[in-house]
Amino acid sequence: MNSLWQDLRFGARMLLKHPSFALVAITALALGIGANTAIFSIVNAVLLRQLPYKDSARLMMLWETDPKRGGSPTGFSYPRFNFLRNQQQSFDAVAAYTTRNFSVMGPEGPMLVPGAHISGDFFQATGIGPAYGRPFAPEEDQPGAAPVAILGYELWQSQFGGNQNMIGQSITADGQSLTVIGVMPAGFKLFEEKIDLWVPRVFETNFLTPQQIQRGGIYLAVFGRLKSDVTLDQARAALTVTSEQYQQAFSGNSDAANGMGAGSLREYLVGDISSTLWILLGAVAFVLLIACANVASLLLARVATRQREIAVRMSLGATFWRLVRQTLTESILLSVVGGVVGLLLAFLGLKLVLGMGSEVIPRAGEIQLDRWVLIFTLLISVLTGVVFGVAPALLQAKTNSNESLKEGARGESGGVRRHRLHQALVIAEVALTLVLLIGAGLLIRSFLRLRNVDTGLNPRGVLTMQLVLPASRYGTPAQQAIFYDQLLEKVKSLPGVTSAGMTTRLHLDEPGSTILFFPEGQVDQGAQNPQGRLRIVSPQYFDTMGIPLVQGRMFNERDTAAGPRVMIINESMARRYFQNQNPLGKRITYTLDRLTCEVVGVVRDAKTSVVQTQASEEMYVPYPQRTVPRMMLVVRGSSADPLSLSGEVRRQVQAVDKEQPVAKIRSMDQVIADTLSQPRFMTTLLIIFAVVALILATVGIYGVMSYSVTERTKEFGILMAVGAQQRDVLKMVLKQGLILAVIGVVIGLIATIPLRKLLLSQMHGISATDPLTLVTVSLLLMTVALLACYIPALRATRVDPLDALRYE
Amino acid sequence: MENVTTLTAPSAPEVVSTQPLVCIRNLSKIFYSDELETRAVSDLDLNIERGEYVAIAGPSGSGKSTLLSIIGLLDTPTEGEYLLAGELVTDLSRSERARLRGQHIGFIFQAFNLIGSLTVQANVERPMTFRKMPADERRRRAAEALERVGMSHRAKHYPSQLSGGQQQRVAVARAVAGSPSLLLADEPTGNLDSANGEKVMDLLRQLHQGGATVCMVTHDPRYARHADRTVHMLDGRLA
Repeated sequence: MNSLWQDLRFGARMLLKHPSFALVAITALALGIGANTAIFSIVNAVLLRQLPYKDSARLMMLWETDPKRGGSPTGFSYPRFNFLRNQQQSFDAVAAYTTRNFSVMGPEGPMLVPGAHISGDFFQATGIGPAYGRPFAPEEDQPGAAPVAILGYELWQSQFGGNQNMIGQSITADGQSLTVIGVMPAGFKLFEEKIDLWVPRVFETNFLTPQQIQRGGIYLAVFGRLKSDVTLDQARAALTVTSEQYQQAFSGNSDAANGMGAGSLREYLVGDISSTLWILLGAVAFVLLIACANVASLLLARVATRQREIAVRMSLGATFWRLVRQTLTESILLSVVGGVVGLLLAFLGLKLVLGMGSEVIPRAGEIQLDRWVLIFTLLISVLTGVVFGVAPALLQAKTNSNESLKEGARGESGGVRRHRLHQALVIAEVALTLVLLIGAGLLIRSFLRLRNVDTGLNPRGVLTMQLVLPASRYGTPAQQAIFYDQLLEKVKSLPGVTSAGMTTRLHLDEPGSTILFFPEGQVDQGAQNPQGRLRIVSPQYFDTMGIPLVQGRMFNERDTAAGPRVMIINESMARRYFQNQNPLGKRITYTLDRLTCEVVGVVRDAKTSVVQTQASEEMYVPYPQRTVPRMMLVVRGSSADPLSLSGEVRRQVQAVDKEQPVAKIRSMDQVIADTLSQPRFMTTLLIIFAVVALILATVGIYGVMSYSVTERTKEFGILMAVGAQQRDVLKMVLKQGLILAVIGVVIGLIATIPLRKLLLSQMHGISATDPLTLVTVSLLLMTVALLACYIPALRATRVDPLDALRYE
Repeated sequence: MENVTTLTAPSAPEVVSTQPLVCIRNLSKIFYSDELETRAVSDLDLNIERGEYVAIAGPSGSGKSTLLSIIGLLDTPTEGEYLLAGELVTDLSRSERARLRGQHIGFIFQAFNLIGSLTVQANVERPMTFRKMPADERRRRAAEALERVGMSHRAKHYPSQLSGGQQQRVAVARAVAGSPSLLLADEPTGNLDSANGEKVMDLLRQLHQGGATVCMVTHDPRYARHADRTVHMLDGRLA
């Protein structure tokens, strides 16, 4: 213990004696450890820590699987949920929910707040109930029961001042009076979704009719708490049996042919981001390795200068392992100081990362530098110290004391070993940096492709906002249609507005509702009918969004509720179902409510999201013929900034109904930006790490080459004495650097093969072997390596042979 | 003990000239420090004829190594003229001097100055690469030179694997492989024991007998006797 303390004190003195060495090494380590700490704190909170629910590992998400779409998961219908709830024996509780916005009258007027219908078992399944008041009683979860609600904590605080007397009082939501019976705990989210208003009765929703719900309309999310003695595989097997029973019992329902699947709630919540986070953790590990290589190079350079000191220690009786321990103690001391600075950088970096990506990182609110992160930082610091310190320590301890104590000793074997190790470190740095640069390069290319992808519509200059009409004032389709007619009329007449339209679901934001249908000439196969996407739109939606007509006509004022039912389809739909026929005049029937429409037009394919590779088959019907209370208003203006219209458009909404709130006011550019937030987040972080890696590698290559030139001063002097000219020496040093860079690039290219496979899920529209990226990045890195060698090379050319030979 | 074959002259260019190979007139070299002016070489005249073996002898600090550096174009004189093979080289640029060194001069240093990271063969070849000599030619000449100094069996070894005497013989091979007009040796025996020192002296003698022009600096009169002519220096002047 005493000798360890001595080693520590000696190590600290050595660092203080060489402040520039310590500064460079600690900076490199702090960058590496800081980046690792920041990303690990996200991984820890998002992927490793338990979800904030009681015994959360047993919470499973359930879904229907659609055999017509390759078994892809989809939501639940109410009949299936109810059937499952009654039949299943694998779960302690099975609960369902569906979310929607409610128009709530607050003290400052109407506002749209996010809300959820939850089934009676919800609190039992999550293991969490209201912080104040009580949960829903079974009788409140029945049709026709007295309307009650539980407030979200934040809504309770912001709109009702956290007044506990609110319990038992009424609030108005969607024009209906609801009795407040409780308040949920602060920060409680519905699986990462912020909910301000909780209501029972999942069998009621404002976008499906009771008939559609009973015939298998899918709109619910379902989860369950697995029994402690049941495994997930057993539960899945039981779900398969229940599916078959459901198919027999509800053969006429549109979802009868579907299967059922289950998976952990954690996977459901963080599945999308987990690969991104693991990739980022891998990226920062590379940054740390590069930092390690840098510091190892610096230590190696010091080995040369400390040879005599070590030789003296050995001659005084220090053993091999004693010397190794002394050097490792210094390395670990260095890395722990780097770790402390890195922790500070991580704190700042985390703020930056969360500022960039709080929307794309689930559980972002839980991310913090907690004790696990501190333990991780300490461990990684010690490990780092060992990783970069072990080779120099062994090399140093192998010093031949006899030779080192002789002046002008001939022994060069230590120098050759150091030289080779230096070269290996440069190669490693180049290879690691190349891997990161290629990763970043591929993602940049992919991101640029996404930004410039042809979406099939023109999003520039379009303003969007959401309208949810309350059932109390707009209970019938006719009332809703009148509101939409009046609003569109007013908005269109605004100065600066060129067109305005509506849709149930916005292109590039969300897919249309999935419906079963059968085209004219094909047999109705019930649940086996093909699926398509349906959007309910206003006549001018296509003009406003810049979706051109290909064939037939657009909707017009004659397409009323009383008129013949009409439909516009997109090109993909026309191609798939009316291959060699003219689709105009053909009839299409929805399975769910047996409505038949005539195709009157074909529009160009428009994408559901920018990452969509192939447009889906889409159907459009005019809102007067199928009116729903939830619509997105889209407004095209002549101004470059469509948001400048938002105030005036909002006033027009209030002019039609002063109690009608609007929500989600965004430009289409923002909608696209939101869609791209995850790739942007990933790309930005990888660029940052790649740039840090490049800087570290440049400094590392410069350091090694610079040291190499210093160490080879005499060699250059000899070569110049025997006829080498300055350009020969310049070429020699650059060639040496270039050879190392080329070897590093080749190894890096090989090492990127698994990485590129890993990145495939993050890339869109480019190949993982995109030659432009691979060649550009390789050339960039070799150029940077050459530039890093240039200054030392120039210094080598200035060696005076006479001085160099005197140096002996 | 390696066999040393009889040395023939390095194939020096057969230039028929009446001019001395080295012609130095009124040459001075002055070193300036803060307040001190040191005349290492002062008003010196010296000719070295082609094929001549000249020893420059003198005590330490007499200026002999400075003179050799100027003759070897590693340094420039402060005053005076220096003609190498009839060409005035006093005011040449660094790179011109380097080029001439590569073409005309072979060096043998006291500390051998081999490059530790290169094999013996590569050490001997390296100066010829700067003359853009084809690789085959370089290899052939290096092999011949190593053969001449009896070191061909060590061609693939590294300098650290050789004794001091062997290293100096490799240094001699490096110096002669490019067929220089002038072979300069700066205390070539200074780091060797007397037996190895004698061997190196024998080598130089044989090279001279083969036609080489040799200029050797030594402070040891025993070795100076190997030369045809010995010039003595004292305080920067010929004594």
